[in-house]
Amino acid sequence: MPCFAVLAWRRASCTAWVIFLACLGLFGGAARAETVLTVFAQAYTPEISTGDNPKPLHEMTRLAHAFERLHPGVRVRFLKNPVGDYRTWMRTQLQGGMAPDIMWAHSTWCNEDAKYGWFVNLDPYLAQPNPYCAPGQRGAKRWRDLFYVDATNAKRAPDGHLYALPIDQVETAIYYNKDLFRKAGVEPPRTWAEFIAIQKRLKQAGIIPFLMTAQQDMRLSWARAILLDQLWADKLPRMDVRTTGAIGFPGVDDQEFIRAYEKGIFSVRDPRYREMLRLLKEWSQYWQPGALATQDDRLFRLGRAAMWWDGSWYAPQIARDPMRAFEFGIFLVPPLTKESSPYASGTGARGVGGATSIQYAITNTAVSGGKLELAVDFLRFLTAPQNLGPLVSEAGLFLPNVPGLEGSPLLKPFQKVLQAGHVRFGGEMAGPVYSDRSFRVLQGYLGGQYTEEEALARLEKYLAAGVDQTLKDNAAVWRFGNDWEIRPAPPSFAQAASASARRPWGLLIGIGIALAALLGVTLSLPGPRRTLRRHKTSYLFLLPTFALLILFSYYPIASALGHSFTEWKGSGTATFIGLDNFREMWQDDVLRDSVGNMVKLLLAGIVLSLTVPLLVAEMIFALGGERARYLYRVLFVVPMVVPGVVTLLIWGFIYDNNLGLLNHALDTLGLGGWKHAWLGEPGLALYALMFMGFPWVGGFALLIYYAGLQNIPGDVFDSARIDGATGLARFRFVDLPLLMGQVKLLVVLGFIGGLQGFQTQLLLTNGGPAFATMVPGMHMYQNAISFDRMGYACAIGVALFLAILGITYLNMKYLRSSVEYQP
Amino acid sequence: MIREAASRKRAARTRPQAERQHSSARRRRELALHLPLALLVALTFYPFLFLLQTSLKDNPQFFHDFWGLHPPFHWSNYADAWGAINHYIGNTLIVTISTVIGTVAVAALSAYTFARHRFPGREFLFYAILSLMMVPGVLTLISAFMWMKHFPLAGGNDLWGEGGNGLLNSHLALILPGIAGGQVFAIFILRSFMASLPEELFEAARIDGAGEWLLFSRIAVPLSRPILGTIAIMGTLSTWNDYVWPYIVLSDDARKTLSVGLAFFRGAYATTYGPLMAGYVLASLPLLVLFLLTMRTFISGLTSGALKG
Repeated sequence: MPCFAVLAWRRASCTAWVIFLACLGLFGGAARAETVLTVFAQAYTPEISTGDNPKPLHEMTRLAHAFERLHPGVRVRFLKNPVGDYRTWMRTQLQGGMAPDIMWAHSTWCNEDAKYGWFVNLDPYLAQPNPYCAPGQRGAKRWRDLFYVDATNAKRAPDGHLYALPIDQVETAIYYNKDLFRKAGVEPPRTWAEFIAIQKRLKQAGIIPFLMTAQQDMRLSWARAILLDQLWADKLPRMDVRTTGAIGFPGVDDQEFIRAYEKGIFSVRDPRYREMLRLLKEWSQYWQPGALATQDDRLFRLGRAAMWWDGSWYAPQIARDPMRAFEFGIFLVPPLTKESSPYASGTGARGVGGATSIQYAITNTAVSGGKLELAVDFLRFLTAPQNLGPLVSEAGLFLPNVPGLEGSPLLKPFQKVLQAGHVRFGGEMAGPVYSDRSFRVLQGYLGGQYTEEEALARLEKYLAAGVDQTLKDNAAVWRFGNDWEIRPAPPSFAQAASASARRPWGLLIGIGIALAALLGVTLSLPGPRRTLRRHKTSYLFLLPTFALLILFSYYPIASALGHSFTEWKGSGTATFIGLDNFREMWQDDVLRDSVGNMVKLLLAGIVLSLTVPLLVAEMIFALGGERARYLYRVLFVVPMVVPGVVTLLIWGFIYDNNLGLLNHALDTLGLGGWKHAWLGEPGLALYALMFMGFPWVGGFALLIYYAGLQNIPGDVFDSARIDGATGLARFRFVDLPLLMGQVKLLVVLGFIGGLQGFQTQLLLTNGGPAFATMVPGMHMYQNAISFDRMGYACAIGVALFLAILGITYLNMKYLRSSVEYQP
Repeated sequence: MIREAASRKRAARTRPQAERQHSSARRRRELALHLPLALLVALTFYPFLFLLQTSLKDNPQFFHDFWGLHPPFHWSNYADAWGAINHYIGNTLIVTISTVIGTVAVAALSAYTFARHRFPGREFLFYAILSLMMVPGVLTLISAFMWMKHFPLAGGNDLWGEGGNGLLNSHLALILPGIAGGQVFAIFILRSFMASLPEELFEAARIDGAGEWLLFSRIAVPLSRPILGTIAIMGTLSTWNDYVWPYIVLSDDARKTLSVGLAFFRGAYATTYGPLMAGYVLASLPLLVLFLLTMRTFISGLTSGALKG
């Protein structure tokens, strides 16, 4: 009877489900009739707590609802997307046609990608009226009149068109500690000379004058830009030849820079450039020690450093810090005068920011989905002053890119920079590789690793390569006449590029045919057929593994191998260049340095990761009670759940020069003389990385050894004891030989991981100072992700692969374990 | 024969305890072991404690008082973290459990074959698998993505991989490549352990008439339990924390995994450390349960005495 009840209930619930699903289908059908506009708004994404906006924002939701009311049948959906690895996400989605209709695309990336036809050229739309602007007001006649002209024009792609619409601007200024200034009796400076003078006074008063974070290139490039812009002003008219028209803006663009370089107007040997280096070095003596490895603002936040240079986004963070024990103020970077340098032009310091924070681009998805007009209309609606003002103010991080609109009241001091305008020539513009290399050379120069001459020689070499690469990259859209005169560009990227996505079929079919042919030939011979029949079980047992590998693993790897012989940016067409990539590797001095670093790290890593866990495993194994052994196993393994980034964060705080635990401990012990900027000194950084992970009890290695010890039959220990082998003797003559299988395993894994690894460098040292901790894995990663040189990255990958394969083969061959069964 | 091994195992487990009662020297040695072990545990364990204490701070406390922990404690971080990951935790469970079970099953079978069988092409095929570990993932990301998009006969695609989105935006795009890639490491480790099992056990079973499948499932797998557990741990850790691949492959919010949810706390200009660490703690709870269970499979003397049988 109860059985029936259950059955009846089941039937009833089944019916309910069917009805429910049918309803769902109906509603689903209804939902499909409306048009959904998908948007990734980055810092303005509403209704979500992020690192930038812990309190969820609502303004975008309000605007979306208002837009939906104006367009019945349209729904605006905001994508939730983290910003970590966003560049990779953006790449893949655009290439696969899966991107949102409107997306945040940093102008640098957007302009790099425009040549693939992934983004819509916004110029034609910007020339039309924006119906959401009140009649008679700016923007009503022509949409583009709404925005700051120069800042917006500076974001144009190499073909001269605007693909990413900047809706806001970001600015920087110097935050200062008013209490410390009062204590040292100094005032915010009006000139660069005063700026240096007050830092001297602060230093004399025992205060760290300036907190500089030079582990990443951002602040060093700001400093270089501000100084160069003022030192170069007299030569600017000869470089900035396009100042009018849609492309022209007061400032040197990439093409103008290349022209200036080729014509010899710009050279790093120019006395003005040396002057920049000198001023920078003079200033750097007032930075906190270890600036080359510093990443965070703590020294300023804790009231130890008197000044800190940061963007407008920092204002809400510091203003709302309840534990801040000082009053802070903001001043703009002071101008260079003749007092500081004979080349000072008196132009005044200009801003280094500009429209570089949030830009929105319309993607190929909107075009193929027939939503182009709708997407444009949403951007028009969004940027109308009555909507943009509240939107940008609510987030409170940036200033609106529309004159007359003010952002959050906290950002008032930054408004002044917008009026002063932006840096017109801020340094060499020769592609991402050069940007990175020149930053590292600057680090080496400031850290005392390179003399001025050495630094300039390196810069010259890297700049020549960077200019060549930039010319090659833009060959399709840049035209030069005689004597490098700039000619008008051909039609835009978007029309020139074929939007065809790459299909994997060519290669796949090739692999398939080759495999099938190989298999067919083998099976047609009587010998192999007999073998196959005899070893049927073996091959059958291997079938699932190889089915999965062939379906999911071999194609991407074959693709990487194939691309190592090409010049390829990760998207678009790959050009076959034979062995050129490998030839380039031969001359790549960064690669050479990094191989040396890797070998040192690898050997130390393998020794430590092999010995300590073995010792611990033996110790646990020697314990009496099973309960104690279980407890220790658990306790040693639990830390494996802690993500690597957290461990690295802790080590960063241990090694920090000014606030780190290690230096603090040395001070307490009265060993102040041994203090160092552990990660900031080129001679030490590599060894600091080796020491990391102390006490090196890796959970995985421990488990492997422990399982190995358990597999040793108890009789072996018994007979060893009878023979009088105990303690170290047993370890030497019994355990170690019987654990050789485990040792071999871990050596092989150590080599595989060690040759490729770079996560630590990426997060802690950025491969620096200069190239002191660079490793081949990171070099490859930079080429693949930051430099857009996927072909070259693949070649490095292939070289690494061959090296690892060779070492592994030797290890497997010569580290034979006596207990292994050899079928 | 197997039963005999099991009874020996029980005997072996009591053996060290009996020994301990014999001498006080033994007790002194125990202490000499406990002291350094406790110190090492404390040092190794510290990052986990740090995770716990930081999960209770707000950002000002994090910056001003990095090493210490003082009130007020921000328990609300856990609520924030839970809000960020609760939609995703089910997805992560589905993906991880399927991937790990698949990996262990497929890998055990292959590892056994490589360890105990002799057949033509053994070395070559083994290296064809092993070499997959040596290709840096950053190079294969884009082509792997396009391959998922054009995977034939999936997600509306035709035989030629056109017309739909392939495996993109489905959990299979995580699970299947996850098993394919994860088994490589697993095969490498398991093969070595299965090769070190005493041949006498297999010989005896063969004489009793056991087939290959029985040898695999009744001898090789049970005797490799600790190492299978270790592999499950490693597989779970890497699947559980995987970020970039799930991020680019899944576009529907309802399908995303928790590492993507946690990434929101890392903004472009600031990171909220408290909720991030609270999220890590919450995400690690299922892993801790797994660890407690797996560590039980390491029972000493598993094969001791089995050889005499």
